[in-house]
Amino acid sequence: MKEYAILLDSTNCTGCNSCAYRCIQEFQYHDGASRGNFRTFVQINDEGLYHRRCMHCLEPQCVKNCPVSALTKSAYGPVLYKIDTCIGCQTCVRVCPFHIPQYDATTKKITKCSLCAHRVSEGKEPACVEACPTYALQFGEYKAIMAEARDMAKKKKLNLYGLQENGGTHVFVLAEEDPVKFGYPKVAKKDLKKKAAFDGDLGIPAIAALTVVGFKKFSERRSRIEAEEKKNKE
Amino acid sequence: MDNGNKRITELQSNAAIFNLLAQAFNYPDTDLIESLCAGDFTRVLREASGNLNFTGSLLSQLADLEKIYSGSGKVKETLLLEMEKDYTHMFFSSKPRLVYLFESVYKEGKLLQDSTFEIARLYYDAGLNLVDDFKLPPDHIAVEFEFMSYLYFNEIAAVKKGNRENEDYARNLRKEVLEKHLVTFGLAFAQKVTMNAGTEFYKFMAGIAIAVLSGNR
Amino acid sequence: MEEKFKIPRRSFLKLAGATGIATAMTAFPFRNMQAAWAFGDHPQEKPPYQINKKVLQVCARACEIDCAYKVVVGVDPATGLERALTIEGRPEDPISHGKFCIKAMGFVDAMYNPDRLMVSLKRTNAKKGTDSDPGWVVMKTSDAVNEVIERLKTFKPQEILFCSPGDPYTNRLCQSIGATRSDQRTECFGTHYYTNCLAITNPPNKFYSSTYTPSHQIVGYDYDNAKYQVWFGFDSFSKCGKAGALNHIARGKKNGCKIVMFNPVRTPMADGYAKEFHAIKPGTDLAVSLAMIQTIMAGKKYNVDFLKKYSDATALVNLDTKMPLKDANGNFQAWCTKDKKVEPIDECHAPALEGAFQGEFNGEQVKVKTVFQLLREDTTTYTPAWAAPLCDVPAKDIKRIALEFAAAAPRSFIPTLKRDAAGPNYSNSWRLRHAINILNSLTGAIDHDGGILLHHGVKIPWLDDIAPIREPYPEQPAEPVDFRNEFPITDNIYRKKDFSAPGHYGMVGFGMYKTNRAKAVFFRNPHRGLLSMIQPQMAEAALEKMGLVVDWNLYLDDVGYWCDYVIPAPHQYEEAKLDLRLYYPKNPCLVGGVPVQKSPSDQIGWGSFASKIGLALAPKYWTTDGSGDPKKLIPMNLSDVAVQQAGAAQNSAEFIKKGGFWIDNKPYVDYKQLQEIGYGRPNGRVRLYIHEFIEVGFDPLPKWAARWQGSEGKFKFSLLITRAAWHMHADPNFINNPVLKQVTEKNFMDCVWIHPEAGKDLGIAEGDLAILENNPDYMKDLPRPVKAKVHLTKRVARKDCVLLFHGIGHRAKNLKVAANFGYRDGDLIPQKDPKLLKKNDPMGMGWVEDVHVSIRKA
Repeated sequence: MKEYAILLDSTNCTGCNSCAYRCIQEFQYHDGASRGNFRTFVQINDEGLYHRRCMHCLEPQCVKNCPVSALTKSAYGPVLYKIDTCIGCQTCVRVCPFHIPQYDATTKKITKCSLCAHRVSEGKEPACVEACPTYALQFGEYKAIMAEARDMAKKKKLNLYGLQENGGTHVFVLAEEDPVKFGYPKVAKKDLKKKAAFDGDLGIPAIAALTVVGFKKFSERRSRIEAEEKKNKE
Repeated sequence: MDNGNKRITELQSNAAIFNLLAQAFNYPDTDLIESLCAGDFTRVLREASGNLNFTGSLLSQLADLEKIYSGSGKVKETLLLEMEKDYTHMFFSSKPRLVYLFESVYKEGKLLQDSTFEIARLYYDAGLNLVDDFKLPPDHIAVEFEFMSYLYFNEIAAVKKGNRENEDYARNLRKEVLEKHLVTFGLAFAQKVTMNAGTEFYKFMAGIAIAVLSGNR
Repeated sequence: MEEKFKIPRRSFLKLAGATGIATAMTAFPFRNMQAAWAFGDHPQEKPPYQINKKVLQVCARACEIDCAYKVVVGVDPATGLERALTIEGRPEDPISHGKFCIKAMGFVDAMYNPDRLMVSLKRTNAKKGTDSDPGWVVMKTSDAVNEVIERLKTFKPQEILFCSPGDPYTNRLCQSIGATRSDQRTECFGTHYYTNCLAITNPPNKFYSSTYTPSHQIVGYDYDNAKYQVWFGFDSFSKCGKAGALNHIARGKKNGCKIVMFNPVRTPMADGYAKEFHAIKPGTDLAVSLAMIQTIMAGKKYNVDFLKKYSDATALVNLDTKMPLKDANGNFQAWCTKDKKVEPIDECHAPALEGAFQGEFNGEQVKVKTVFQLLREDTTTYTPAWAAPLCDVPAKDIKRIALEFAAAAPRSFIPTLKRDAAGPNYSNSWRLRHAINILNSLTGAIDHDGGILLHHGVKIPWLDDIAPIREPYPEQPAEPVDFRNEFPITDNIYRKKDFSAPGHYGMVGFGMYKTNRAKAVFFRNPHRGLLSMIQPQMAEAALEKMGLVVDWNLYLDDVGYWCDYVIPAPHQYEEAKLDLRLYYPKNPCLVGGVPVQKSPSDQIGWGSFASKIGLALAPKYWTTDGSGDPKKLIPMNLSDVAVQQAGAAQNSAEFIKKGGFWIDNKPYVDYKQLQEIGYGRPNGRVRLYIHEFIEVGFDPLPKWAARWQGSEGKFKFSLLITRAAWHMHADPNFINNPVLKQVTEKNFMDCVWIHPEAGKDLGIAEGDLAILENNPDYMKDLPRPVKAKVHLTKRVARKDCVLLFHGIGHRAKNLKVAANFGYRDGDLIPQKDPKLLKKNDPMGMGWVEDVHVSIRKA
């Protein structure tokens, strides 16, 4: 199975957040986003643009620590999340060195990127990559993307984030300044240990079934009405 | 009254109640005000709610309603304008919007969402579609009430004819409408109307909706 | 359901009331539903939901670019219900290249916004205003339209104001009635549009089109192939989201283009795309551009060939009258250096570029100079050393930039498309726009690959083209409420050349408040919060006294407080479209779109509404034979004619069937388009010397002038305005979207931004509330200070500025998300007083960013 990664050249990003909104429409999670929970989001900070999104670590702490195996590492890159298995314990929120999983108190679930596993299974790029108007996001095979990231960093004298942070990730960020200066968490660098953290229990077709756009379950909607009523009473 | 007749009466009363709820939560018009002033509306309501054993307080409010519409001496045009303003204010123009008419707004926060598609599918399964003149989304509360009334109506017809298949089909459909749509949406809607209505009519009909939907929960 | 089971609902109630439910329940009283088949005969087939329908659309109203894309729609084949989910790009579109922006996606969700106006509303309580209950009642839209028409009939044409862009239907309507049309594009596009008209396009020209593009813009920029660009405030936050431009700018960067940006605000565009950034003093871009002209002239770095062949640089100006010499046919004259005499410019083989001459013209001796000579003389003193202290940009940098710009020519340009922070939107911005045109002409960048591209080769007709009028339209009002008659330059273009030209909307509030010229106001306002424009206070107060106010809109927005009727409009994705690729007009191109869904409201489209009003109020202009017979309504199939004329298809339906896309891939021929549309066509030229300015007391060539409102005492913060990439004009499509509200707040764009040191001086910390006020010497009527949260940020690169975000601050409390969201920047900008404006701007367009405000902690 091929292994994939994303390259974010933040010197091309304009902070338009088209990636964020396209992601919301892909997964139809407008409600969660309107409570402030985004799978991906661009924060326009003084020194640069911080993309808050799952780095898809090679050795994810969230996967290692999840008590119910709701989080798994797939062979092709993404850290995947099974919403039905999740018990809302927030262990992942606490252990992620990049502070990525966001807990939604209304649904008692977390929000994080899946690298658009269902699209990848259809041979498409992740929705955010396809939408990016300045080609700041690229998607491809892990090794090729890593090589390009290294090459661009060297040629253009850019900082490369994500290569060694937490022992390596499937998202590479290029920036003129040190990304930590404009919002990326300072995460301990470790030698790149490329070993499979893949659980092997969830292939692409299974994920595709979980993430098809549209037509949600009744139970989710009921919680929305209850949340709304609670808000009105407050 | 034997069990068969009792059941039919109950089904008829439910059909009538949902029908009145549908009439009530459509935009008010001269038909509605005339049936209210002539006492037809409240007579049907009294009979149906009596058959369904509604509580005394609702029935006493019904008497108040009768006084407003058939005994106040107010001209029909004035009464209708009051209702029109109240309806428009609550459902279309209030600041902020006090009550939304559509199920998907409650469930998904937007118009024309999954719940809209699902209820429209149920109309389709029952052989119905919307008249061309109805231009709003199909998960309008009045349409869902009308649909419930239609399902009761067909259940009665099936019972009378001994058509077991249709009877089961109608019963299952209305259960699905209630459980997956109206119990949540309809109750939330009715509670908001109770809190925000300016006229006794809408407050009272919201109370009826709560009674019906709670009873069926 | 068999017919015998149906019963009218009134009869049911009557029957049930009289005889009891049991008797009545023999038939079913349908109201909103009908039976398609008998109950129980339910279909065995259950077709699955499909989410693969993709509907062609073209963006309209979100910005000037108009990207083509597809709207992805979920469909239930059983019920016919559809719901749009997202957008997919069209890579074949030369503008978008398969990209689309966050606003386009926001429009998808706007179709399902629960606050969308679903029904027509009529006011029953006479008192208007934010504090009065309108007593709205619902009407059938067809009835409401008829009532509106009857009410309009009671006013004189000159008393009616249509607040609307100049689309084909509005143009015909206002002209046929003799009513004023004014629209909100004044501040956005006005200076740019009119300067282009005066310098290049001289409308109407052969490609003058009716399109959905809000600017009637014919000039595009070849970002992809340029080697050098100079941006004066062009890198606004709103630009950060314009996918149709960004993909080109990104290609340009990849191709090695150098972009120099002048802006007191450092935007993410500057982070990623500026090779050089200067935190210029606001309102002084003109000084830089004049110094660039001086440097290029002094160093002889101009393109002599272009100037002689394609501009009026060699045209002679009579020194006594200051007017260009023109023969009976209106042709420019040049001085022939061989024959030593005045000759028609197109026939002169050796025109002098510079010099003063004396010769005979039309039998009289005249003293003349060339336009180029006058430009040199006018700009001699504008050296970089002169400009530096004015604008806080080092002289050596200005000089170097001018020379680099000239060296890269003709693949270099200065864009100026639209306002934004420090961009061309203060009252001397007309001079800046003029100076930029001159710079682009000096280097030969106009109508050249890698420079400024001109639209050509295709046209979408106007209604008057396909349904010619049988007698002249009535006169337009002599004294319109927007005072446009006080500005002869723009008035002449509007009345005689291009009725769709931007109106003087910035004076509408002033006119309504200070005069009784308008008594009925019709807002054609489908996707905009019109009261987000400058100082809405006057408009609000004035609307209270109007005899009739109508809004045709997608939302009951803040205009609704003053409306007698609000009529629902379709969403932009619920309309068919045909568009040209004006933003990047490298190739003639047509693109079409079709409705994504049937509107879920009781709406009426603008074409239908306008033609109903037209038929009632000016029937002879709306019928083919002038009879007024509604059956003889004029044809309105502009799209059919356009695709036919282009040879793309027989009609628009066939065009869509073929993919809704037509492009003529012939290579761009440099300088050809200019000849076809410029002044003096068929040998058209760009004009440097605009004599129309002399006629209204201004200079025909740009000269330095200070801003009309300076820094005074505590009013020392220069007001800069920009917009989040996902907002526009307090448009409920975006600000009533709860997700976009989150994106705004997380990026502090609901705050006012000041430099951290300015905050320190004022004793204001991050997140504090502050009050902003305009100088009362300028804000003489109805001041309304702004109260807002403060964000301290070094992105505001100077201590003497404050950055506000346009597009929030909606006042309509009925909008669940938009209500009380942010502040309204327009409250701080005084309404345009025509007397003051006339002293500063011959076209009366710029105004917004001349303002200085005070800031104090709340």
